Amino acid sequence: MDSVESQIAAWRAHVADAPGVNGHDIDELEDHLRHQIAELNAAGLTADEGFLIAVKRLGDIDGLSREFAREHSGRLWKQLLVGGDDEPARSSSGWFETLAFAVAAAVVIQVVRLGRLSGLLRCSLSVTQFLNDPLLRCLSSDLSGWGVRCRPGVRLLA
Amino acid sequence: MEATLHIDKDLIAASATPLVLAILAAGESYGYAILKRVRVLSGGELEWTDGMLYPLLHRLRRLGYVTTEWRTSPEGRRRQYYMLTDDGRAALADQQRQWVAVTRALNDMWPGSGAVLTALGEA
Repeated sequence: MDSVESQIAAWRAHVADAPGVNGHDIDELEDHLRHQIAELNAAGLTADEGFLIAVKRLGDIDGLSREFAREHSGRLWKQLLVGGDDEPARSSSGWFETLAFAVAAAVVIQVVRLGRLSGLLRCSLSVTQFLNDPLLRCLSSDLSGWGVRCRPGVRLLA
Repeated sequence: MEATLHIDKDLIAASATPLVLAILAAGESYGYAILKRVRVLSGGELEWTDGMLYPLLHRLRRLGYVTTEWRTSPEGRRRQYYMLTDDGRAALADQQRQWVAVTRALNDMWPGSGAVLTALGEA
């Protein structure tokens, strides 16, 4: 399994821990993620870089989980019954820190090259930004300078 | 960085449903394609958090505005397609009336911004 496939597998496992999100949702999100990665790769990013940005654009998992839970409250209730816990334990096994560490060096090396990609990525990246903040929230810290203009957590359910 | 128009998050949320309904009125679609269409339609100014589209789509399904079908994508992945229902068309027509009323009121107060109503087909 190549690197991006193992990253996607780790991402799937992480999302699967989120309350309110079921297997079909994850399939749907994964299809989206792969679409976005393919497009970023076509624009010249490496697979690892494409993965990082695609995950970032998808939004932080806690926020997504809340929105899925709001829409599928019945489903969440069943999960809570099974889990027996108001605040189901989130896996903070550090998968993302490990992942970020593994790719951060490669990303930094690419920054200079990427600077030439017509503004797709426009600023330097603070490695510590990746390493300090656990889970996906570390990607929610501002990557806007990369041309990733999404606003994490903007809810679409009025 | 260049200044970009910041659209208030409440406005983004309020406009999300009519946008998705309108996109599906043009034909069935799926999440990623809908999101790309939103980006194009808004000239990149409506930037959604990608994942948030899916709870919205599921809500539209619960309301009976869309039906869904899992198929295999050309890439061989499982993909859920969304189709507008008659109720969805009626909801879209209702949303259009509401937005036209709001933009007409604003338009009256803001001379020279007639492009808003032109964009809504109400010039």
